[in-house]
Amino acid sequence: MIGFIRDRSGFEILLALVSIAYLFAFAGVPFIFNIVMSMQKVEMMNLASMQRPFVGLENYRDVFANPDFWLIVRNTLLFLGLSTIFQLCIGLALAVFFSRDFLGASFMRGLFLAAWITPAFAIGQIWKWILSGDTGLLNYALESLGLIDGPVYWLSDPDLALYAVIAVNIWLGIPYYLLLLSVGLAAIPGDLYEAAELDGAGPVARFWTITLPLMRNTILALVALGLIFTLQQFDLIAALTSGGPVNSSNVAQFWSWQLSFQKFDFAAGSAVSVLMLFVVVFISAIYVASTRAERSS
Amino acid sequence: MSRRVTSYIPTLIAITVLGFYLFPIYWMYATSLKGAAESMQYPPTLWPQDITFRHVEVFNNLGMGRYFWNSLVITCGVVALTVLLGTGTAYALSLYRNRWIDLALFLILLLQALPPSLMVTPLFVLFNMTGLLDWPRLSVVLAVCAKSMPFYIVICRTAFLSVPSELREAALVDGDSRIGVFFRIMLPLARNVILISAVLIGIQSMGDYVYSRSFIYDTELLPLTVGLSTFVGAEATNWLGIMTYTSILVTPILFVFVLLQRRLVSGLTAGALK
Amino acid sequence: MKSAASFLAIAVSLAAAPVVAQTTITIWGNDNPQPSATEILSAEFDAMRDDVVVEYRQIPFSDLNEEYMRAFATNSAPDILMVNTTDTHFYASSGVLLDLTDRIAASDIIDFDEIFPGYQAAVTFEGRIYEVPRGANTLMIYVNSAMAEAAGIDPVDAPESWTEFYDYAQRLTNADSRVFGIAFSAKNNQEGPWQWLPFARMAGAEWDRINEPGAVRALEMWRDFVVNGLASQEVLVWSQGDAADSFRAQRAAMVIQGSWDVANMVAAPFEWNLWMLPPEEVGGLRVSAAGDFTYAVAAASDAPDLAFEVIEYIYSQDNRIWNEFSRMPARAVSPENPNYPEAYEAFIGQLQYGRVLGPNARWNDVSVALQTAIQASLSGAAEPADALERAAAEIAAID
Repeated sequence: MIGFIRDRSGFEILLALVSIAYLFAFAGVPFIFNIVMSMQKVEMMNLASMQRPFVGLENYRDVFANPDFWLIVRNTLLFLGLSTIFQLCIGLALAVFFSRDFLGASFMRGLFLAAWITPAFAIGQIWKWILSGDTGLLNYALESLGLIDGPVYWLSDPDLALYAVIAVNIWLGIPYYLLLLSVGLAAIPGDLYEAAELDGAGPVARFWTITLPLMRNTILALVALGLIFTLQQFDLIAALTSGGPVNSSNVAQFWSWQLSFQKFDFAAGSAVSVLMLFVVVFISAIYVASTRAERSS
Repeated sequence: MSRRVTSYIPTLIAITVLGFYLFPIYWMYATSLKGAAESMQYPPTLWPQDITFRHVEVFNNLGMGRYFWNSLVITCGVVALTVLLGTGTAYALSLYRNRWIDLALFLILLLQALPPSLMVTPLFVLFNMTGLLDWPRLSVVLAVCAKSMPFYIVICRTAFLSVPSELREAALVDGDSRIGVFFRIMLPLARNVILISAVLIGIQSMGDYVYSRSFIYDTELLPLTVGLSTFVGAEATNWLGIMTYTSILVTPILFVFVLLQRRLVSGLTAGALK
Repeated sequence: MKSAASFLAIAVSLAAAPVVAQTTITIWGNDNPQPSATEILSAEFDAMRDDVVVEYRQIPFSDLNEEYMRAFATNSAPDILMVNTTDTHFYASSGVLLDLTDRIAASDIIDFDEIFPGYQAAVTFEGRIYEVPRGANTLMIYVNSAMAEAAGIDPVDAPESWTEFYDYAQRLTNADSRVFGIAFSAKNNQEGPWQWLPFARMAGAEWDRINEPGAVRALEMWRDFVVNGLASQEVLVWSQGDAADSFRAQRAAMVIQGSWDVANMVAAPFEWNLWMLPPEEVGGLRVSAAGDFTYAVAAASDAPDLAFEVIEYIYSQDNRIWNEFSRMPARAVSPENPNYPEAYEAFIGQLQYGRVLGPNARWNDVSVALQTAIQASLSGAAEPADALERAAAEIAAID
């Protein structure tokens, strides 16, 4: 037995099993609880038990029939897609920029973390002040520069609210990409770049042929995780617009909470969250498939 | 002479970019220093005119020292548990390619899909039934860890992947045991990613709110995030208090993490890979 | 500061008390912090009695119901809980609260008849009483005196009809200096309906027949405020606090805000006055909002008599709560030397017409339907009449 662990693959299997067991206990159980709950009739007194009247897919039918459903799907996809693309691109650009050895580079890179450390609740309010239509700094600055004529209602105009929330979310997610991409970049041996430069490759070519391919695994992992994180973003939306006005900035995660804790329709909230799970299944499956091409030299 | 000047250009660009990016954080600090009347002004003053330093008062009135301690306890617990359990898993999952690994990776990603607001009720029931709620901070650690472990495993796995397999094979051929290979060769090479990920997990767990609020009843054991919510009443919210509190919260943590990440990201040598 | 010192003194005296078999009473609630009325008053009770230890847990407002429901579902509820007037019927109808009718009838301290009618209705469910009101608040119009005078309006001259109200808002709006005539909250949470429903009620409508013409007129007035630039579009995302901040920053000349905010208003650098919410026609029905929390005892509590005594004690201190905690009592009990005496008189006057939201066991669902209607109308997505038709249908469909 000890031999199995020490010298054969037992050791590694044991390592993997421990945390998987942990996750099953503390994440898997709630997971199953929620899926089951989404197919039952739930009210306050049976909130904690698993035994409730079974109603099959009725909750899902109600959710699909809800007039706001497709709007929220659209909003969620926009939120996910735009946030991730911009977070990744800006994060990568900044990571490349800060990987150069200039005065204060690594110190300043760390300061980006301030956005992550500040509680989202406070961040939301600060941005709410900045984006405020009548008294906000953004409008004040834009007007002083002559770029706009009158106040732009970033948060209360149904056409703009979602994009304002997305923009703040992009801002919030940059440190995550910046820091982890920086670590990935730092692992690329400098002589690769030197050799390429000697061969006559310019900075863009070096980026495409050396940096990106070597960062492939890291980028894929970050994007998969980043998408899942973004899908769960709650505090920001609660603080900025509460999904309004008229659900124009409502996304699946916030809607699920509203259904559960404002309307006390827990089953519907669970059903929405299970629908979100399908998105995660999709993302996870693609990520795992992408790992097939990982072992490269 | 001109070379020296141009070498400062990136620094200036960086400062500008950072300035724009961090403006909201600056705003938080500025607001926390403003007097009550000034904070209501329009056009808003960029620089506080009427500096009111209420930070000591807020710190004491709310017992922020106690909240800091609790946040620290919870964060250390989460980081320790995650690193302890997750590192090995990340390593194991990086070694092989087969269906089981695929499945494990898939499940690990999937299990973190649910937001805390939905996980909290079943976890509460679980902890209540097993009596874990008698150790509220431990309950929070266990719950937050379940959230941060998948992230940690996936990231660290990519770090282990980037270590050439020849190194490991060579060591095994040399007679090293698998345990030894892990500790003596693989870990040191993935060290920086592990530490950076631990830092990020630490920051994230300092921001946990839902679990702390739901599992901890005793004010003495509350972390900073829940302490912050005492500023929010049913009708009125004390924003100046919140900004003050937040600036007290952010400053030391930022200081520590900036120093940490500096050492970790830049102190990397590719020497061991040769 | 003074409360902190007395709290410390009590804590010290408690530490010196002899050891006696003690019962722990847990209270959960949400109080405006520093000072927190429930925490302080219950601590005083604790200090007075050797056989009782009171523990207070503060829960953020938006999380209250979630915490309560989870606690009831897992049988880990506190002895006493603070229930907002919007939720009183919900919890009472769920059977999780103790019926207090007989205890109140037998009580020397609590006299049910002297509680304001709006609050009596809130705590009574199917003829039985389940909660004890712990305070009252109401909405009034705060008006910037200097701005009023500049517009030729006498600051003590409250509008007596909606026409006059609208006219004032128009005169007080100054597009050049970017000042709006009025600010309020039309946010998509409880605050939107809370601010608007009094107007709908004054026009004769009610939440269970919200598509009546009176409600449509009330919503049209709300919509006209926004669409015609008398109120900022931001009301759609503003909480009451945000609207009040706008008033204090002198970006709005009037604001519909509550009695709880009087201390912040006093700190503002200008003079203001208080107006009652105007009836639709001169001499018409007056309604205002009434809200705040109540104390309830959990049915599963194992120390109900003691819990009720705690509630009685807190109730008996009603004459202090205005000065110390900025809450009005839910009955006609006047503190001596109230802070801000004129404001206090005004609030008490307005409270006579106060009606709570609902009361209804499914108020949250009703509220969501109303929120949707308000937001749709004010953002121009729907006509008020259609929006209210849809809301009425949704409300009727609530089982």
